[in-house]
Amino acid sequence: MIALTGKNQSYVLVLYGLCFPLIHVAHAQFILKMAAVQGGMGDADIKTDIKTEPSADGFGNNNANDGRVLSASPGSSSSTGSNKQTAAVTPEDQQTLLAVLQFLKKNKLSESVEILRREAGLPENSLDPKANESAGAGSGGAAGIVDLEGGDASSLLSRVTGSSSAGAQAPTKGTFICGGKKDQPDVSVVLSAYSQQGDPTLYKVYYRDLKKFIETVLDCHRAELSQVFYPLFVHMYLELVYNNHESEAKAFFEKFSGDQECYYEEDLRILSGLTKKEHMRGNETLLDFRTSKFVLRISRDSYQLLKRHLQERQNNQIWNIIQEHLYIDIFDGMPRSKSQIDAMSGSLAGEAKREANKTKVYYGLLKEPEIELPLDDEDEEAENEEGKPKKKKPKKDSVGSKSKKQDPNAPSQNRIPLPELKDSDKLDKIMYMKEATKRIRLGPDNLPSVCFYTFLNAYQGLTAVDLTDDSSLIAGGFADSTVRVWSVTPKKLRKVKSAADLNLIDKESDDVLERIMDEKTASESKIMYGHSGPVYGISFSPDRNYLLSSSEDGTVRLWSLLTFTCLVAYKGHNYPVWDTQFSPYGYYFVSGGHDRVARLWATDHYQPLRIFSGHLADITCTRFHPNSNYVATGSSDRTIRLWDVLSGNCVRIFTGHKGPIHSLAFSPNGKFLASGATDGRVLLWDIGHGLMVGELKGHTDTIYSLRFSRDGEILASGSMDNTVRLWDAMKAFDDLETDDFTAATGHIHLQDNSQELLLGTYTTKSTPVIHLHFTRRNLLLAAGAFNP
Amino acid sequence: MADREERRFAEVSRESVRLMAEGAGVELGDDVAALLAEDVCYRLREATQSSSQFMRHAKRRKLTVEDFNRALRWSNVEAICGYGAQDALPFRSVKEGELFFVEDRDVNLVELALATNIPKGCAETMVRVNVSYLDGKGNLEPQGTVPTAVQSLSDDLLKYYQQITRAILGEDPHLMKVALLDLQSNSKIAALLPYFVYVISGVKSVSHDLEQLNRLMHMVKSLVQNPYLYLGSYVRSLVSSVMYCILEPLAASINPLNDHWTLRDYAALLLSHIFWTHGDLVSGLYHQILLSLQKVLSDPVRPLCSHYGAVVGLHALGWKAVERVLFPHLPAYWANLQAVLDDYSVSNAQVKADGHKVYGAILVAVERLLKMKALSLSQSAEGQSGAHPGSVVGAVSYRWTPVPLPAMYCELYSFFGDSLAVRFSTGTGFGTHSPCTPSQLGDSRKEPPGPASNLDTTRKMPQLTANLNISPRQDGSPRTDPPPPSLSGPGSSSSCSRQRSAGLSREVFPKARFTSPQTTPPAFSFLIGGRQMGQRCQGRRPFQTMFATTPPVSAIPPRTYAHKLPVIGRVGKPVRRWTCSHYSLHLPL
Repeated sequence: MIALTGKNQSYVLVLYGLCFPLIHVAHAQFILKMAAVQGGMGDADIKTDIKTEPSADGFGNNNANDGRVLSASPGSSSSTGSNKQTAAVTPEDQQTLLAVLQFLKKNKLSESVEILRREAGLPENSLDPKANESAGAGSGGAAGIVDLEGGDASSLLSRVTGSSSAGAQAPTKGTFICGGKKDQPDVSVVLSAYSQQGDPTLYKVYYRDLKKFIETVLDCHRAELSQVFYPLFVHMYLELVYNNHESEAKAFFEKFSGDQECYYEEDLRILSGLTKKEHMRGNETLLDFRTSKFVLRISRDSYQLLKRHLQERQNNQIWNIIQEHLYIDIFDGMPRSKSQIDAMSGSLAGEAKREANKTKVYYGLLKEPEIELPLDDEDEEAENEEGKPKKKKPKKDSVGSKSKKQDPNAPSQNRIPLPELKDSDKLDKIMYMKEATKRIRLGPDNLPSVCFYTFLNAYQGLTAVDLTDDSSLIAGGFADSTVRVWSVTPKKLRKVKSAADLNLIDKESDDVLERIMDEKTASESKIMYGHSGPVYGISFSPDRNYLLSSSEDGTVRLWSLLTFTCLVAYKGHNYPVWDTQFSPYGYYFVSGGHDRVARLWATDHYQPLRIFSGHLADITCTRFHPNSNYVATGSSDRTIRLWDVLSGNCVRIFTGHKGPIHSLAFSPNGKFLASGATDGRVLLWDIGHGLMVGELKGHTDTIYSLRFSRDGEILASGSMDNTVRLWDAMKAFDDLETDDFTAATGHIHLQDNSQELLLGTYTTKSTPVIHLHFTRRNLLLAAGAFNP
Repeated sequence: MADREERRFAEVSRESVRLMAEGAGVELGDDVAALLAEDVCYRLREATQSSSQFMRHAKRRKLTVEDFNRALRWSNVEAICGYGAQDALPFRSVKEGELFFVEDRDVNLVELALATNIPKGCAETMVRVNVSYLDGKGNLEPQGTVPTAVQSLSDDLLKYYQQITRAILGEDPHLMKVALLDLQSNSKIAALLPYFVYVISGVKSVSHDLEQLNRLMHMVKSLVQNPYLYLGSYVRSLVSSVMYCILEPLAASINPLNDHWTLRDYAALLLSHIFWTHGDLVSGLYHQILLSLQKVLSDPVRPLCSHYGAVVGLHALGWKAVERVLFPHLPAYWANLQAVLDDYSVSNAQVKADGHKVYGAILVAVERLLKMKALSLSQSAEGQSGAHPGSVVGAVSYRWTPVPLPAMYCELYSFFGDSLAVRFSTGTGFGTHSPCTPSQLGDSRKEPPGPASNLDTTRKMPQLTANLNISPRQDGSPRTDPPPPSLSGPGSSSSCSRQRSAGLSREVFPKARFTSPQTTPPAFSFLIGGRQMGQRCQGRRPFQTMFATTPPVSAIPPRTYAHKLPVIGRVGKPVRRWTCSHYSLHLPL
């Protein structure tokens, strides 16, 4: 018998019988553990659905703890569906099983349900149909799994890498899980914080009182204290709604919503729709607001002023909210100005805490492996023919000098285990270097040429585009679930011959790589079927042998570009996966989606190696740092986070965007990050100092693509407004002088120089620009679907 | 907040909820319905908000039914099927029941199943690259230029392209018709558009072959009418091809037996159609067209057929265009035309015939101009100011000030004399806005009232004579003619319905019905001569109008203007020349 008890605000699953029939012990325990974590999510309905009994607390906890050990075995994941082990089983009555199934189903763990059901041999309709009405409870549930898989992922990576990092990671993960429980409490608990009730009619008075006070303080404090308005407003409104003072809440909203900063409008719109206590349950935005403390940075003087005022007035209502729901990051020194505050605010949960951006980030580039550059005869001859034999020498020099330097800010070469270079990779590197010598040096006076790849007849909806680094292939993800690859060179796409035919090939011949290709399959494009939802993210592997695609169906798929078939479907997100990208060194890739977590995968593991959890809303875009040690994620919560691949920790939080972030780009030297959002602005970030260093205004619609030129002089941005804009990145970064004070306090002074930095605006006919790419010679390629 | 109003949400009323509940067989109390309605609204908003996420990630601006269904699916709600159309679904309302519903037309399955035109699949999705900006400086070539070689097309498309061009330019008229029809309705030929445009731009190479030119123009028409094609900047290329047919002295026109006039009329019609339906695709198109027409008109070296093209082109573009380009230019042009018409030498016969063509075209154009002007005046007088169709065009400001109607009429009358007047009855229809009251004239023109007051007589007099020759239109308004059926495609915008009747010009000048003077010498003709005040003709000048009797009405198909259009010449030479003419009947004015 299984029972759920509501004790200490977390439900504990207790195993009465010894084990399920036909179910492996580890699996059962895994499910239990999952339930334990997710118990937090279960709302009151669960209690009515499943019998409640007082339980032995310790037992359940033991299970939960065991889970970590057990889950290190790959078979334990709910997402893989590969629980093939059979072990000791004991009889168990079906009732319990049904209860478990019901619970799982309630939490949208349909795969687990499926597995469990299959293993238990239960008919499909054995589940109570009413169990599937728990909307909105799933996201927390997903976060729950995340914690677990994070645990085993670290051990997996340690096995992969052979390093001893696992020991160091385990505690981090452990604390995270604890924190996770605290951070993802169940809704009723969260909301009950609102139950302390004041006189609803006084809320207006309180707020107006505070408003009056802030309006009368000295100018230098006013801007800082005004930050309090928005979170206070929201919490007071929610308190009114929670306590069923609907009309008061509406009046309160009407009266004061106009005072809020315009960039909160989106959230206010959601808020204004919410007028009933019943609606609060399952509203994700609301939950975000509740579960995370709104962070404000206020100078000590201003804070003292506020505190004194509230205490004088005995304004406990507001003081309580500030104490409970706000995190005030107090700093010493001059209060910030309005523009300084506005530059940094706008995210769902306020600004980043200062200490969040203090961790050292190794943003330098890895040393390039030394490759003997064989100046093959052909090349030499060609150059001789052209009568420019001089060229040879500088080429050699430039290549040599580049690879010898070691960046002081670079991580150690083996901080992250990287795949070894294959021969073909070395060849490609050589090609790259050769091309690089022919690269055009861009600058304000020497702008790149732009080529546009237009997708014609893309009636089904083009949702994602990627180009290979050498610009030889272009791939498109479509809303009709297909992935299409085109060759943009005269070289056609060919499949590898069938196994039978391959046997006939002379494997010793020199051109065996050519012989394995089936000439009959040559075509300009290939279509790959496999997804069951729009393909939102797509990425080529650096060696051009694989293609990744992420889709609404919750999977990331790995495709072979030799056979044009799907190799693996990485399951784990369970919700739409908005973006995915290969590491610049291959092997690893990152994905992020609606479940608010980003996952780091390796192509040969079906489970994620790392889980990056912390965003308060969907992860909309993911990017690898050029040195592959970090991953940046942009989110609908209007923040950008930088994650350490090694530890899985969040090392940077960048706030300042006023809309969901849809594009990210690292500068080629790894020092800077550019981000574009629905607000049409590009923001530039200094990764080392963790500061915003620039704002590029000009676009009028969502920026879907950003790309630095190969040498980092030019930043290109492509937008929904049918334009490509070029920005002077050199100037934007050169003008920087980050003094220690700014670095220490995080107070930034941005000058409005967008117009000076804008080098050019290029319009398309009627084609939103959804991808940009600089070729190795610095020709700018843009892509989009013609949209008549 | 200023936009507080915008933040209101659509609401589902409790009546709707109750109705729906009744539909499901449940009776709801008032309070329950109210609660439910509120909840429904909230859930709808929630679903809409989450569906916008799918829209954003699909990199679209338009929220689709698909997005909404996905949002529903992820919140464990059943998707709503049956609304996933490509185009917007039109809602129709039923007045009596205050009911709105989506129009759902019956599909005739039998017809569909037995249809011979099996629908083809979508055109292949493909990637095409073009160099948009070279060295960051401007376009290498204007976007939408025509590729020179037929390649990078799928086999199907290539085959289609070859078949269609072969059919249209080939011998078989039936095949051509089928091809044109398909071109007009095929939804998958977007990729071929540049190629067709390229073919059409070949007009210059076949200017000797009237038949081919005609076919190419038909091709333009089909392309323009195809509702699935987005012409984009190809409009420019098409317009230039059409303009070629309108304006150029085609090689085919050397032979007088070739009816290049019809081609020009048709092309002019086409031009107006393109302009009115696709003119918004290219900015400044209207001005460019006007400029090139004006250029041709003001170039005396150009042959008369080019001038004719310019006039019918202007006429087709609407009365505003006529008013702005042709009308101010008329005095200057008149001298040239007159010289041609006055030359009775045999060697000039052909040119003179052409001159008459031009004359007729101008006459028709100015007639429309006057009528439309009067109409627009009357409309604005009725308080419907700005509602006239030409206002779209006229809104574009130019260095140009409109001439008041009476002044315009008087000036035009000075050129055309009675042949203009006969086109307007002196009856009540036009009389209410009688343009020629002496007082108005005195205001608008610095002219002694003496001769002006005579105008009334001059206007009536020739009407009598004209009545002898021809039967003027009973209603006096050719505007009531039904618009030509040819070009009003199903997808045409309503704003151009009036201007579309520019097609009149085609019926006005069918070559076959034109009686050229040298082939049928007039049995009897008389001239009305006189002195007429010409504001722009350097003081008083004599004028003379010659009427020629036309063959009996029964001999001519009765439906056109042809028999109503007297052959009229006007003499700009000194009076003593025409006094020698023995047929003339001089009526001093």
